[in-house]
Order: sequence, then C-alpha cells, then structure tokens
Amino acid sequence: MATNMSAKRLMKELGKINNDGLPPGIELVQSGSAGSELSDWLFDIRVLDENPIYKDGVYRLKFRFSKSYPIEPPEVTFEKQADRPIPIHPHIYSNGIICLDLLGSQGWSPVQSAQSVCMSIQSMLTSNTKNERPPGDEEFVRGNTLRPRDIEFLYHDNTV
Amino acid sequence: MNPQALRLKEEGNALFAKRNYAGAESCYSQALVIDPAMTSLYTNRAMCRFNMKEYNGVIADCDFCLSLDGENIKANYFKSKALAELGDTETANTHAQRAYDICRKTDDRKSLDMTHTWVLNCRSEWWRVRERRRKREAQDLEREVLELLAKDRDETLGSVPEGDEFERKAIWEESEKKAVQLKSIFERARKDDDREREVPPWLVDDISFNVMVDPVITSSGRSYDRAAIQAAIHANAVDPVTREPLTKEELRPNIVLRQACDWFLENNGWAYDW
Repeated sequence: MATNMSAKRLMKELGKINNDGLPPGIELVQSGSAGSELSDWLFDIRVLDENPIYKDGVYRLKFRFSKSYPIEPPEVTFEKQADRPIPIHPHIYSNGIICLDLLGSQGWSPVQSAQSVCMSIQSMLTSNTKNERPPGDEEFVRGNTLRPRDIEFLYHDNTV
Repeated sequence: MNPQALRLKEEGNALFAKRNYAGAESCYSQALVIDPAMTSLYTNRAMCRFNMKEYNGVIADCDFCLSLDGENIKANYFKSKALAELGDTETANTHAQRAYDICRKTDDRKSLDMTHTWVLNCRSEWWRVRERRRKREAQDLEREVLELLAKDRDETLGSVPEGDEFERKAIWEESEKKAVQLKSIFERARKDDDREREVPPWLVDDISFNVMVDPVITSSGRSYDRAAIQAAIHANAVDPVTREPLTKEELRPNIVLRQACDWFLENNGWAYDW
C-alpha cells in the first residue's frame, strides 16, 4: 500500500477520537511523537466494574505504529510509571508485554483500530479473575530480547 | 535485442541511479538510434526528462512509447505526471486512470499502489480546478446581473418626467431592494459550499479509511478498496472480518458501490483529501 497510508489513517483515527470521544475508562494521553519515524500513542485505561484486582488502578498503554499500519498490527505494551503499574494478568508479563492474539501478525486484522484494541485489552482485564502473572514470567522478563510481535505466544489458553 | 543498445541502456540506468539525468538521457538517445522499438528506452528517457523538468519532452517520449504499446503503465503514468506539471489536469486525470486500469488488468501489485495514489491526486486536483472555475463564474454572473439591474434602473429613471420626485424615489427603492435580494441569494449559494462535509460511512474503506475508488466485494459481503484489501491479503490471506481464507482471485468488483462512490466524489471532491 502507498507509504502515506499509515499517516493518513492515523490522522483519521485521531479525528474520530477528537470528534466522537472514547468509551468510558479509556483516555488518549498523547498521539504521535515529534521527529520520530514511528508514531507512538499513549492511552490511560481503567477497569470500570468492581473487579478487586484492578480497583482504582490506572494503566498506561503504549501504541507504536509502523509505516505498514494498519496492514501490520501496532506494537502495544503496558508502560510502567510511578503511578501507573503493570496490571496483574495471566497474559501480561511484568515487563508490560501483552499476550493477545489480535496483536500478533496472524490474529491482527486491518479493520481493527487503536480504539478497538484498547477496548479489547480493557475487557481482557475486566473479565479476569486470576491475580497472577503468566507462567515463567520472571524467566521470560529476564531473557526476552525479542520485539513483542515477534514472540510466538501460545493462545490455547482460553480460560481468561 | 541488440547487445550494443542494451549496453547503452545499462549505462544509462547506472547514470540515472547517480542522478546524472542528462548523461542518462544521452545514453538512452544513443540506444534508441540503434533500436528504436525498445519501449523501455522511451519510458526511461521520459523519467530523465521528468527529473530535468522537460515536461514536453516527457510527453513526446510517452506518446512514442504508447504508439508502440498502448498498454504501457509507465508511459501512461509519466505522461499523466508531466501533464499535471503543465497544468492540463483533465488529461492528466485520464492517463492516471488508464495507468491504474492497466495495473489492475495485468495484476501489477507494486504499481497498483503507486498509480492508485496518483489517480486520487489527479482527481482531487481536477475537482479543485473545476471548483475554482465554478466559483469564478458565479462571481462574474453576480456582478453582471447587478450591472444590468443598475442599467435598467437608470433607463427607467430617464423616462420619468422632471420634477416627479415621488416616482423617482420609488424606482430607486425598488432597484435597491432587488439588488439586496440578489446579493443574498448569491451569498446563500456561497455558504452552501462551506456546509458540513460528511462522508457516508458505507463509502469508506475500513482499512485505509478513504473513500473507495475501486471497491471490491468479498464472499462475506463486505467491500474494500482494491489496493487496500490486496495489501492486507498479501500480509495475511484471510477476510479481515470473518478471518476465513481469502485470495485476491476471489475479489469481485462491486459495480453499484463504485457508482455510488464516483457519484459522491464527483459532487464532493474535497473528500479526496479528507
């Protein structure tokens, strides 16, 4: 696709967000970073129901869009800050890497958007009942040097 | 193919890569003396000339190439580019569309993206040209009608007997009233141009978020712009919504939707850059 497709499409996603707003619990903190080839967006997300695991928590999501967006998925991770912890979830590693099939190159669809990804992650937290990290978290966080989208996650676990 | 002509062509290509356009042009010209039927020499030389801003030379080369091979993508593309530079937006538009149509027929995916972008560019420019013309014509018309009104008033005033101030005042007032009405009608038409610009969502491609130019439909019943869905299939051969396997051979043109998009863009050219 033409090289300007990603920039144009992101501009329109942004226009739509500015116009129609975002669903409750999702907030756009930053869109784009100056002088960068890639484009970074930051969102704050909260879980709206009374799930005790995430009560009162606010989490920072970072989107990194390549020039091939939306043909290729954005790279989406949680970012740790003083008041923004990494949410506890059996599919979220403590370094912020998220194991979600729709963010992998096979599960991704170009009709998804930054907003729809945020909503998927929000509902992934909402429905979670296990106060735990993925198995092998410590080892993974220590040893991983791969980019999130290059990691082959196992998606067979549909219990969460 | 003549080996000497080929050698000159390669020499030209090497110079072109180093941005030595004049040197490359000369190599292609020499090669053409030896083999005047080698179409790639014309399009390569056209590219040199385009970079040297010799747009009439570009068109001459493209026309010659097209007389040998009317289905040449590059010749149509560069002719369109040169025409656009020379301000012939309408013909540029025609050749851009032709280049795109040939890409589609020959299944040239790489050029499809490039020509698709260029078609949009040309159409949008053509719309702007027509809009400017339309606005200018409306302004001229307004001025002309106001002048006629004043002329008519002066003639009527001339036929009123001296001293009949009551009649003279009535004629003046009548004429002023008409002028105000006329101006307000033209003003309303101008405001119409700035009315809210909204694109109906069913004309928008869900991948590129642009108004579709060449919509194609998948077996799930959803339509996408051809260039966008082909890029998506190339990355992952599934329907973006249903995730069922999908190949580009299964895509069918959605003719009625295409007419709807064409009709919309025809009347809302701003949507090209929307």
